[in-house]
Amino acid sequence: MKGNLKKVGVVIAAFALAITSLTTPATADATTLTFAETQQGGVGIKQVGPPWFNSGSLTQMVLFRGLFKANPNMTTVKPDLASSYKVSKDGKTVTIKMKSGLKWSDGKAITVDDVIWSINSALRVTRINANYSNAFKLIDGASAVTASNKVNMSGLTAKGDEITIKLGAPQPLLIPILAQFMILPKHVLEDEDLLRLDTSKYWLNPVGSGPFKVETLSPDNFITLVQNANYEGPKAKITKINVVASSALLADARSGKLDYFITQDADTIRGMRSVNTFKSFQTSGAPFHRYWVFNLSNADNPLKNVKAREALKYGIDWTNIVKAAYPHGKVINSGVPSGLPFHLKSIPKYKFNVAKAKALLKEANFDSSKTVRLRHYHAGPADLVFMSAVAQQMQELGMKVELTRFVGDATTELYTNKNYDIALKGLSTFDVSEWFSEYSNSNFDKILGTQSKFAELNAELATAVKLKQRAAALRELQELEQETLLKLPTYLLPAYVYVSKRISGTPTKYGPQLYLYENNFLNWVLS
Amino acid sequence: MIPMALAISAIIFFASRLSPIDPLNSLISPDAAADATNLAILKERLGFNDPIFVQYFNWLIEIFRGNFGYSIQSGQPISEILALRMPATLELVLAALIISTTLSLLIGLVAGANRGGLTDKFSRVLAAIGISVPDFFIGLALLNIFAYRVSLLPTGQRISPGQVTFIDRLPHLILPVATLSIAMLAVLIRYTRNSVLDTINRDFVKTARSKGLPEWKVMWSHVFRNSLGPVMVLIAFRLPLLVGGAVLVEAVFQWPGIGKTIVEAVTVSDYPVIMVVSLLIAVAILFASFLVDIVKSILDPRVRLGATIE
Repeated sequence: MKGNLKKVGVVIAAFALAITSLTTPATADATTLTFAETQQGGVGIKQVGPPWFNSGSLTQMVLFRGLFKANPNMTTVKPDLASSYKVSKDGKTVTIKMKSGLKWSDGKAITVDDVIWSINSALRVTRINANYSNAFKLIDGASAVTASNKVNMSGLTAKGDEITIKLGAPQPLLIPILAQFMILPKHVLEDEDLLRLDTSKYWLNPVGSGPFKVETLSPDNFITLVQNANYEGPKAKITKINVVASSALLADARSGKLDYFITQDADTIRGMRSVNTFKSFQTSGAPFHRYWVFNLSNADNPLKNVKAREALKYGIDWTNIVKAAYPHGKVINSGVPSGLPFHLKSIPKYKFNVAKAKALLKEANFDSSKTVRLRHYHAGPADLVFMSAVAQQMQELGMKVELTRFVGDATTELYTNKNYDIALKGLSTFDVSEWFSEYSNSNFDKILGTQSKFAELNAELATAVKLKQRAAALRELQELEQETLLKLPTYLLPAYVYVSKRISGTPTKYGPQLYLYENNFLNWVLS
Repeated sequence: MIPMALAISAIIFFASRLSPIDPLNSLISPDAAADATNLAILKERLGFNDPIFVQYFNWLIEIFRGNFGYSIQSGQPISEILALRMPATLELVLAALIISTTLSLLIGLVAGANRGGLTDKFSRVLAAIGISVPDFFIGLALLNIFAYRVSLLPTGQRISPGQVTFIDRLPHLILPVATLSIAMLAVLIRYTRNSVLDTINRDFVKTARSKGLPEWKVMWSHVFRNSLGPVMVLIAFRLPLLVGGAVLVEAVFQWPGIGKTIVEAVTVSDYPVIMVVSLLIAVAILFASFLVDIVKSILDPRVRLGATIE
């Protein structure tokens, strides 16, 4: 018996030794940075993310470049592929001069043709961020560009290294938007099916213009990026980047397997407070709104009366519920949140007041026999906590509430099926004008009806060149928003950037999660 | 088998299309404020506007031609996705099948032959744990201990940057294979043990003993060989796992196999992938049951394929 036990012990010890020798404990390499890409739905890394839809990842920042580059606050831009730009006095003509001698990572020259092809193609692809398509549709001749022709917009021309953009009306956001829009190589992509560009094989090993290029892409596993020898600028101190998918950011950060990641997840943010090997930064710049939209196309919506909607602002303890669900969330009362320029200070703070809420419901002749159908499509644990708490407090106000998650996809459920009275929605805006433009877009028309006053003010805001004009338009829009309460802004959800303390030279400010900005990456140093 | 496969293909297709999810809209989150102008053109081009029966027959014809279609999510041909992910699933499931089958046969046979002994007691405890604790829980527990707390093994995926050979990436395989093996082991140990106990009391074993055959020969030639028949049937029923993967275990370990493909496809409503993978699994199960019938007929002379009872 003793002999047998000894044998078993020897086998176990040998097995443990074999495993230990095979495993590679997390080691910090002084030249290789490892960061995690967080993918929707836990999907692994399949390709480099196309930057014309969602951008902002570190991979995109080091692989691609735009004509300009924004600062982390998104308030100013500096030339990147461009060397300079000029806007005419009437604001309708923008002239951009390109830098000379620039090369793609495959050694071919970056030219004005790439810029013209990219801007025209942006109107031909299926998945495009509305920031870009909305801005480019204002260029003269943009309406002639369709997915089924090869016509280019007449208002976008080039001569030598100069690009001229002609607009029907001044477009103050064009330059900041061009700072987000990545230029792609025409010579590689011109024969692609643009309707399916985002799933092209190009994204497995893209030809780019940034300081890094793809060395290896192991689908579902990782991407390795190495320095791009054709990049004209100074070389980065970091020579290699490993991009990995992490399903457990907190655990991977704790065990030293990651150097950098960005997240909005409440549990990870809470957990990272105890990890002292990382520095954390709240993102700045463009806000990420979470808000309620009302389906007023439903004649039976118990919240058709604006007073009933106002009751929700007072009758729910937003401050404490948001604090409990999202430790980093910030309660807001306007589409222009406090702290941002042009926030209207006269907007009520809507302090929690059940008596006032009940009085407002009475004033609105609220029919408590009707069920309020409350829906959401975000499905994180924090979202579920938030929605359940809100539903509970609505019931305490005397409402019958039916809370469920949308069964179908969010876009179809929100604007086609419309089986709801209130829905929680999110919007990552580049500029507050985008928040207000929702009131008069074709999708919101289907649930709110035509909002001509909003459309009028949105047109004023879009063409406001002077600060005074912009301030006036935003003031009126905020007043109208409070008057109508068609959308209830509830909270902002900033993201957090986590940077390992072994990296120095990192900035102290980071831009919003879905945007590209100057992050001083070339000067990051690993120890 | 073929009519059954056709019926299953119809169920899979129509069930997928009855869902309220629009496969193209589901790709565009309203959070990103996407411009969906060109979606309609793409929808037309992909045939989503055709009558549903036309869509079904088109799909079936293409499947027979070997063209499985394209993933809506990634745009990749589904055959490429299967080619990429099938080896990962085969690697995981084959390893688990071999380890669990070998161990459970050994333990089960010894436990059955020595009823009430130490191995028998151990096998019963192991089987009880394996059966009562779900495999995803075992996976999470192993992950928590060996990957998060001790940092001895990777937290997931099949390969890390810089790993080239099979030996390099072996650490990635250890936890998912262990999880899957424990889950498979439990049922098989119990089944093997019971089969041995059942056989050991049969008349032909008693006859063999009474003929004065040595005990090892009785056990090997009469008990073990006859006990393995029903066990083989159980193993054959596990073969569809080679095609379908182990959904929960692959999801827990982010193992890029067919099981994870199913989870991802369901998450983003990638219909073409869901339909093809479901069909493949159904065909694999049908094939496995066909195989079981053949194995049964070989092992048991009383069972004959196509025989009629008079």
